[in-house]
Amino acid sequence: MRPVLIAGCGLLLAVLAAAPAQAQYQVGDTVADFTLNDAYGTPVSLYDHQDFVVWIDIWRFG
Amino acid sequence: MQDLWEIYRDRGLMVLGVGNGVNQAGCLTWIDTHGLTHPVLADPTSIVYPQYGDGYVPYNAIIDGDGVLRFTDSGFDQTAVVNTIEQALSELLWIDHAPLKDSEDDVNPYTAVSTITSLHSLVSGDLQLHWSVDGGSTFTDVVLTPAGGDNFSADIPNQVYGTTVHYYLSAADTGGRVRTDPFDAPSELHSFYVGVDSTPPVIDHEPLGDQVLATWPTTVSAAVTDNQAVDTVTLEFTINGGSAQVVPMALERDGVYAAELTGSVAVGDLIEYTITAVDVAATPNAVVDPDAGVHMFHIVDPIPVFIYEPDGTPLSGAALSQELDAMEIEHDMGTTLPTNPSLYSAIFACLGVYSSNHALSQDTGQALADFLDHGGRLYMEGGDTWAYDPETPVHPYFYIDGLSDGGSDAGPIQGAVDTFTEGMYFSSYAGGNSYIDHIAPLGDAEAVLLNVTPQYISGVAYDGGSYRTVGVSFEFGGLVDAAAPSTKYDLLTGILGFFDMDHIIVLFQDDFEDGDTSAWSSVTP
Repeated sequence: MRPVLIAGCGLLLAVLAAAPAQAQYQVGDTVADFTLNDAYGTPVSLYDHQDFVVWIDIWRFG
Repeated sequence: MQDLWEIYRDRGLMVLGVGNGVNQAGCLTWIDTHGLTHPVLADPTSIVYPQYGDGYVPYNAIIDGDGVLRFTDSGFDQTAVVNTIEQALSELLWIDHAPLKDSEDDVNPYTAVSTITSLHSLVSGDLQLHWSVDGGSTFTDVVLTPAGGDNFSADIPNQVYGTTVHYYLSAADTGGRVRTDPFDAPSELHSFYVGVDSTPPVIDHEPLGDQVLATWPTTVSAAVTDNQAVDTVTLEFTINGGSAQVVPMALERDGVYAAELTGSVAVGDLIEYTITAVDVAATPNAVVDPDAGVHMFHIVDPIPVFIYEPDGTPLSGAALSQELDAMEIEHDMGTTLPTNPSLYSAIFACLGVYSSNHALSQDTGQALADFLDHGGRLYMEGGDTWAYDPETPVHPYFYIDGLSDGGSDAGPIQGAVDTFTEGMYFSSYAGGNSYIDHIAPLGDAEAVLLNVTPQYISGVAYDGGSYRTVGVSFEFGGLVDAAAPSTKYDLLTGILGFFDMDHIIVLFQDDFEDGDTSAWSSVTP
């Protein structure tokens, strides 16, 4: 069985099981806001996009 | 992700990329590498992932318009992601409206039509159009009238010439949700001008480069927009400066007009053309592209070979290039496909072997399929492209059955009797050697390369009549030359022969004087 390989944005990322982490949210939960800087240093909040469908795509360098 | 973002952004999707353990500089690299246009957030201390993730990264989470988490998953299950997005989008309170254009009509009202949908019932009195003739300081509110199904309309009364009307739409549903169009109204507004239209259309056209005969008659297309409406778009062209031909360009889709350049042409011919667009104004406004002069291109002979090598650890491209040099066959090489692949007779696609293998994208697969549809020849190698990576539109052209993902088991590799590889035996293989797909021919395709230990097929050739393909699951560059005919030169000669291209191979006999070309000959099929 080969290590799990996932195509992400056209790049193959070798992925490893992350350190065990307890998922805080379950499907059906209302999620809280978070704020992070974008690639240009501008703060972006999840709640800036209320009333929209938001797809959070979490990635890392393979 | 970028593909889906472009499809769904105008329907209410926001994509937030989150770089887990990645700083801003890393995010910029990621954006550049993947050509992203959605926000990419730096999360160097990994704040977000632990709140959502319970598997591994990449990780996807989808939150609906009410802020409820609808989907989480490690990896990327495109079908599940798309289904969730489409479902969540369909539940949004949403206004779909094509903004009103400028008008020369000062007699009749201007009717704004829209489609409004929501998971919940709409609050009819709260479906409104708000218009202003003083730049948005004061608005007149009009309740929308049902116009069948999810459609609604509202009239803005006729205005005198010289008036700019600003407006926006608003809606509310019984779920307590509100929506405006534009999104940021009233700080952002739609507007249109009532008065004499002296603004010509705008033509957006990418001029055609040189073309080969295989793609003639060639289609010319252009996106044309106007502040009011486009009336006609025409294409005017000449061949070698002959008499001008004028053909109407037809509306193909969503503002894109197209027509064919036709007529009898040969290699070397010069085609010159212009595009003219005229609007519907009472006194029509016209524009010509280009502004001055003409667009021009030539009909050219195809270049024999393009080596497409997106492989993360390139190997075969250089080996192919070296052998083509030895054959004195002109070729180009790149990590992306050329804009017009049809300028080449054959493409050699080297996708690589795990773990640096390149998974062919659907778009590139389609471009290669189009290339074959124009009579192209395609060699494609990759350890995972046949049985593991996603199938693309070009894969069925090969008539290859991807039997299994394989193992680290490539070599020795031998040719197949009664094929162009007969008598070849490569005892040593030094290329990428992980998960080498095991493949088999389908239909009239033929096995041409066989792995010896263990026994399986690793190369299949198919004569599709108008096109030809060779598909291989190891790397050409990994073959170690032995005595003829077991050399890369011989194998490539065989492939070019199968492609009906071996007449372009120049044989050079070393024992002749410099400048004596009597020994140069062409091998004819």
